[in-house]
Amino acid sequence: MRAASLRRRLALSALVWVLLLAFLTALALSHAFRSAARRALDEQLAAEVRGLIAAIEVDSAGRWALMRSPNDPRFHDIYSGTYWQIEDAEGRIERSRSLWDAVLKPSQALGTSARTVALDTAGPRGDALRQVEQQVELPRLSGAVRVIVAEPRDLIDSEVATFDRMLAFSLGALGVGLVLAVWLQLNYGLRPLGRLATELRQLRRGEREGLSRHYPREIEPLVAELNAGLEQNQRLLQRARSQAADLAHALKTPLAVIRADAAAESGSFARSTESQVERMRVLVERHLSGAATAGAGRSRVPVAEVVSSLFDAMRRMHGPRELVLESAMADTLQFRGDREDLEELLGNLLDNACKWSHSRVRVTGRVGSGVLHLHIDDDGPGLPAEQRKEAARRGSRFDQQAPGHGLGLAIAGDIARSYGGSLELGVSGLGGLHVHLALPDAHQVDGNAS
Amino acid sequence: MRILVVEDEAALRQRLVDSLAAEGFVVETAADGEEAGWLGGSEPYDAIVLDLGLPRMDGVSVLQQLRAATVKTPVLVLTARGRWHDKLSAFNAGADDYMTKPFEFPELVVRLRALIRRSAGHASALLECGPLQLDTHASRFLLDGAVLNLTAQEFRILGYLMHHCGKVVSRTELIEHIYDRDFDYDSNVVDVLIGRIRRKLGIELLHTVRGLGFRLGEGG
Repeated sequence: MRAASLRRRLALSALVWVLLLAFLTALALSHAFRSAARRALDEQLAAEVRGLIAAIEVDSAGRWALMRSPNDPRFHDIYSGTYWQIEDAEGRIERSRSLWDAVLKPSQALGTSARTVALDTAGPRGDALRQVEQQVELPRLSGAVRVIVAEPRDLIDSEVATFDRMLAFSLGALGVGLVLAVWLQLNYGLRPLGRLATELRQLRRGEREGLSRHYPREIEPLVAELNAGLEQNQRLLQRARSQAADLAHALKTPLAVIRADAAAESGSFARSTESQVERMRVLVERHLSGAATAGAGRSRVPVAEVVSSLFDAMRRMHGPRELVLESAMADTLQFRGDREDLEELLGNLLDNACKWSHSRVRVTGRVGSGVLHLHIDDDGPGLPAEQRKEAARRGSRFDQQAPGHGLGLAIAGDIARSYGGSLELGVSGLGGLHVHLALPDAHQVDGNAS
Repeated sequence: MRILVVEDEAALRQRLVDSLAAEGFVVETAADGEEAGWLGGSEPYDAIVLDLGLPRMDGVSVLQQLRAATVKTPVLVLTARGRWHDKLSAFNAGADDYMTKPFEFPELVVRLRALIRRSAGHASALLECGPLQLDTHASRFLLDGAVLNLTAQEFRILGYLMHHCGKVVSRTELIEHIYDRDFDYDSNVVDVLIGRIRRKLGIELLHTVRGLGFRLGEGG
């Protein structure tokens, strides 16, 4: 399973956090608003209660009357929900017209308290009311008078609902803004990681030697470790190569002595020793060549340059024969990999071609859809079809399928495969063996090959 | 023909000396790079067989040193290093041929002879000087098509003169290429051998150029 993207992970956790905070904020603000609205209503109701109390007149006979009733029209609409009510200890009740013949239920028994009390209650038709009541003692009046004013509670509810809608909208906008900001911040913050990925890709393609040093402090240790690892790898490769060379030296010199001794003798023992020495030589060459192959792209190697220096070596090694060595490729043709590997690869193939050719060896090279194609042709005897097929099918066992041609083709095949490439054999237009080498991830500067 | 064999492995060095001497070469040896550089730069060898992995100074450096000192002696690199990278650096340093160990001794001899021949300006394996022919593959002289019987020492002298057909070769040069360093230059062995070769040839082909040396070729 693929791990979730770092960006998605961070964005998701930010989203959860923002949502939770927005929700809690909404809850707290809504609650605060609701209690503020209720307090304001209670205040207004208490003021009306005080107004009513002030309007009560008691005459000398000890009878009370309301001098002027409140003129809010809602007190006149029947069951409007806006009510007032005054009652005394003797059970006489004055009330707003809106109450008609209903009665507001007080919360406390008369004469028990002088406090102003606010409470939620139900109206005559079961509607939700907010009610404020106060008991007062009036001069010349025996017993307390209770004054109640009520208003419908849905006034608060609708106001709170409006506020909640507004709150939800603005908090939602804030949340979206925050998540967007987090996303942008992540993109900006994670950009060095993207750069790191690009550099690693370039590294693998051989477009750079190591990772750059300018990274944020948080990633720098990782980059430093990677660089150290790459350098270590390079050192190990160098060591493996020199060890392979040392081992080659250590093994081949004694083999040379044994071969010289065997050559000086006659008889079956000497012959079998010679053939075993030859077998050992092939094994040593093959496996040490494999150990020394880097098989990885670091630098860009100009192919034509390597071919030209190999031609020079071929002319000396195949000395007295007048070999015609031709090369047809753009000077800009490049092999992406290790120079020694290309030298080894082409050296083996060219040596083989020169060894078997009558007089002509030709190398052609071009790039096609990211693949470097190299063709080596000679005018020698070539290989019979079944040997070529066998060699191609068995892949890594060229040496046993085509003795004489063997080792060079085997080593070249090994190197080509270690680069993810391939080596195919065919019949050359010159009459001899045709070797087609396909190496991936080739690069040609300035585009077109001639 | 005088050869310098540079090889640090004593067992292989001895076998090279024995086998090359049996083929008629005069063989001298060096066991490390410094000695090889010194000998190669001061003694007139006809060819040098050079190992690359040498103590004190590696073979490629020896080659570079010799070529920098304009020593043109052909050099055959004989090494365990089989990588083409090593071959290219050896050729780049001025090597003339390259063989990897373990090698076939007959191939070494053939290549060495071809190298000596080429450095003297002969392309073919069959050297001719008037009616006299030297088949370098078969190591035999033919006079008008008939095999000439020579001792090993006579063969060496006539062989060297054959490579320099028509040119005057001084007595010192001849001795330098035929014998090792310990040879007594005042000895008259060379003159005795020249006399014997003249008798075996039976025709006017080997001339003494007074005060200068010897010349193989037709005409006075």
